[in-house]
Order: sequence, then C-alpha cells, then structure tokens
Amino acid sequence: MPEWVLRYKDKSIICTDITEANKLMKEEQPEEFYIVIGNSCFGVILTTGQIWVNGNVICCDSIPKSKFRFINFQRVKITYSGKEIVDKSVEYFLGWQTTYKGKNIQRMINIKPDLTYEIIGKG
Amino acid sequence: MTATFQLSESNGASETVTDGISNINFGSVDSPNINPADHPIRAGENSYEKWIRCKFTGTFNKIENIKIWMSSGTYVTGEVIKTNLTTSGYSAASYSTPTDSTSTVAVNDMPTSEPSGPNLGIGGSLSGSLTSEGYSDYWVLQLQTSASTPPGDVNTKTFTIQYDES
Repeated sequence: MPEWVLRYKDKSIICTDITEANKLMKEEQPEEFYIVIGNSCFGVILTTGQIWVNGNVICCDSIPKSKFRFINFQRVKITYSGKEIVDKSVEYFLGWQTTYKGKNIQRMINIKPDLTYEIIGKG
Repeated sequence: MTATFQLSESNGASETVTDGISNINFGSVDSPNINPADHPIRAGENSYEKWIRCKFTGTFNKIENIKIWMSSGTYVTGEVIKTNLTTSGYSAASYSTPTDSTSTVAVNDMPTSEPSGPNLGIGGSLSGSLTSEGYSDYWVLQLQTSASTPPGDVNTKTFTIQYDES
C-alpha cells in the first residue's frame, strides 16, 4: 500500500491513506508532498511546482511567485465480469494548478498501476 | 480509510433497494441477483430494465468523474445492451418501475470503450461529486433481442467502472 508523505520545514507526516493526507493538506500546505509506492517515490515541490521521481526532477520550469493549488487524487478502476470483480486497479495523480499571466496551468504526474508514469497537464 | 464501492439495484413499484448486488444478470423478471436460466428472455423480447447505482461508503473527501463502459464481451446476433449513459446532454434518470417494454430511458448503445469524460452523474450532473456516503445517479440498462437472436446463453460481458477519489 502506498504512503503519502507531507514534508514541512521542520517535520514530515506520513499518511497511510489519501483521505487523511488530503485533509491535512487543507490545514497547512507543506513544502513538499510525495507518494511512496514500493521502492519508488513520486513527489511535488509545492514552492516551485517541480515534480520529481526517485529524487530526479522531471518537470517543470519554475513559475515565479505563483501560488499552487495542490492536486492529489486516485483513479479507481473496477472490472466486473459475470458474478464477480475480476480486477481492481488504482492510478495516482499528483501535481498542481495555478494561474499565470491570465492562463490556467495544470501539471500532474500520472502514476500507473505498473509504476510507469507520465506528465500530463494543460495550459 | 478510503471509499468502499458497491453496486446497488432498485426494483419494484415502490423501489426496493438492494445494496451490494452480486451480479447484473438480465432476465424476464424485475429482481436483483437473478439466475438467467430461471428467467430466460424470449427472442425478439427485452429484459427487464436494470436500475443500478454506485454506492460509496466509508471515509473519503470527494468522489467524482464516474465512467462506465463495456470493456469486453461480444454480442450474439440481434442482441444489444441499451443504457442511459452519455457524455453529453446528460440528465439524471428518475426512478420508475423497471419494465420489459422497450426502454424509454435506456436509449443509448452501451459504450464499448472508455468514454472521453464522465458518463454517469452524481446529484444530477456529470460534474457532480459526493463528499459523504451516498449514491450516484441511476445507471439504467436493458438487454434487447431480435427474432434472429439464437437460443441459449449470450456471451458474458465485462463492465468497467471508474471513479476519482481524493
């Protein structure tokens, strides 16, 4: 099971479910937020908007003085065949949304069930 | 805690709700969890409509963006599954007694690939969401046959249900 980690200046909080993590996000925004899945780590630096995988920044150009609205959700896919659930998979989405020079910009990392990933977004 | 997902079926004139149904078998009776061998559909006739909802319980912040499609399974001759699922011009179906007459609610072909956006609403809107335990809008289905549909079981279909949870 994944763990969601909120890293503040002076502490880190580890959550074992997304509901708890997002509740904490509403109270106080950390400097960094990341998901640990198995031996892999996927994070977003909320002061710069940079998204990283296993410590390596893969996206994006920093947008100066922007306030980022944090995005963190999971996409659940359930498959029924005949009488039973034959498959249940979860993808994770982590990133931010902001307005810069009048444009809505969104960047997210989409982490697939096999831990492959891609950067998606608009603007 | 995260959300717990179940399918819920409504039946009867006074709407009896059964949560956690074990199958969506179509048949010639308005009842949940049916054995189709006991309630076969005659060639050229329709199944009773299925009035299904997605039920979310447990602890979560938000559920939204429900997509449903038939991800595998092929029709036999003359067979089709109709539904109210749609990505445009959506309006939530209000419950009415399931019928085996040709449905006036399930009028769209069941999508056979992932739709581009949500196709089942919450609270009457495709952009709606749940922030506490509750149900989606109704997902209405009907299996329709023609006189040329061969006797015997139709092929098993697989339905995929997807939602976003934050």
